Formats: sequence, structure tokens, C-alpha cells
Amino acid sequence: MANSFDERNKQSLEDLRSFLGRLSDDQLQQPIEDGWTVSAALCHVAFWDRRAAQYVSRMLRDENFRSSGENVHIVNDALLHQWRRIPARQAVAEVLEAGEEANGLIAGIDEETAQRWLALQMFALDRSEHRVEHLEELKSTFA
Amino acid sequence: MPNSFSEPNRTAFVELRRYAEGLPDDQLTQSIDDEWSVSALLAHVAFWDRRTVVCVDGMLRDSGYLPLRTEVDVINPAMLPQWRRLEPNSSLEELIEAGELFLRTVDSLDEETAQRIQSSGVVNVRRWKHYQEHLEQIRHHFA
Repeated sequence: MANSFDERNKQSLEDLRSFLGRLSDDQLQQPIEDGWTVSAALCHVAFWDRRAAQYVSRMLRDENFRSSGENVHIVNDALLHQWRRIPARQAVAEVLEAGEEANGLIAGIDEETAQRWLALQMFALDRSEHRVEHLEELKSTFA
Repeated sequence: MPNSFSEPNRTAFVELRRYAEGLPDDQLTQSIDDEWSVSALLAHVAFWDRRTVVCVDGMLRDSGYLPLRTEVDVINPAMLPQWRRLEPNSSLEELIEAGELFLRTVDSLDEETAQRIQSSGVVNVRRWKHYQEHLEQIRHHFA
């Protein structure tokens, strides 16, 4: 195993893929709460995976790369309008592609490097926590 | 005019909006370079307007609130795959909705408040340069 996050990241993406494979277009467009839909939640998961992938690829090029951090709620609030506009099947494709990109990049990091980056608290190498959180939310929507 | 930012913002936005509204779908979907399409650029402009509105709203609710400086160089590439998945008419609608909301938000500020927000250095209510930059980029592409 490349690092201690690799297996959880892969398993969580496979769980998400398996669940999404059973959802119809109508279910993907179903509202959850506060303006969110199932499809928008998938875009949200995809975005934070892509952000993690950006961090990894930049830090592989330059380990001194630092960023200001981001206001999670500001970005989520600002992006929700766009996430609601992305066609449902595109949202599914995006969350799976973004997950593959993040998993692939993170899998290439050795444990020592992963722990060093984790200590910087700039982004989460364990992508499974966020995916599982939203997968559980979606499952409860259709329970 | 409510404050000195209102008119230049509105003038530049109307110019971008009119130009974008005049483009047929096949031009909106055209690639500008290896990564960006015209439609994706419009969604990008819309996002930064939306983000500004969320930040301004937060600063108006709490005068002590100061958002973090944003991760422009991380967010743009992280969102680009999703911006490319939007239908061109959705990008255009989002540009218009986000821009109109931003203009109304800035128009609601008196000069002192608008200057205070701008001088924070972390929220840019001077959006006209962003509109002009991307309008010129798109015009140049079709020239």
C-alpha cells in the first residue's frame, strides 16, 4: 500500500459508484434540503476532490507550495447555483472522474510525505470522510 | 449612483452580457485554448461574482467578519471540469443572474461601506476589470 489513505479512498469511491449506479435521473434531481439536490451534492464532492488533487499535483512539483486556505462555506454557497445547473448525468460522471483523479494522485504519495503534508492542515488526503458523509446523506434521502 | 463602483461595474457587465447574448451555441461551446471554452469562461466570471456577493453579505451582517484571501489559482482549475460540463445556455443564464445579483448588491452599498469592503484587500467589488479581461479574450478569439 502506498499510504494509509489509499485503501479508504478507493473503497469510498467504489461505494459511491455502486450507489450512483442504482439512481434514476429523477432521483439524481431530487431536492435534499436548503436548495441542494442529489446532483448538486455530487458536484460538491467532486469539487473538493478536484481541489485536493490540485494541491497534491502542485506540492509534488513544489513542496513549498502554500495557499491561503479557503472559506468552505463561502465557496459552497457561491457554487451551489452552478452545481444546480449541471446536468445530473454530468454530475455523476464528474464525481467519479474527480474521485479517480484525487485517488490516483494521493496513491502516488509515500506514507512519510503524506504525514508531512497532513501536518500542514491545508487539505484532506483522506477523501473517504467527505465522500462517506455525503453518501450516507444521500442514502438517508432514499431510505 | 449609490457609489463610485456602481457605474463602471454596470457598464462593463452590460457590454459583456450583450456580447455573450449575441453568440450562438456553437460559438459558446468553442474552445479558446487547450482547457477553456467560451461557455466555461462565462461560468468562471459568474462564480467570482457570486463569491463576491456571499462575502459582501457576510461583511454586512458582521462588521468584524473578514473572509480569507481566496485560492484563485486552486479554485479555477478545480472548477474548470465542471464549468466545461455546463450547457452553454446555462452558463449564459448563470452569468446574467450572478452579474445582476452582484450589481444590485454593490448598488445597495453607500460609498463609505463600498470603500471599506474594497480596502479590506480580500473582497474585490471592482469587478469591471474581470468583465473587460474576459470580454477582450473572447472577442480576440473570434476576431
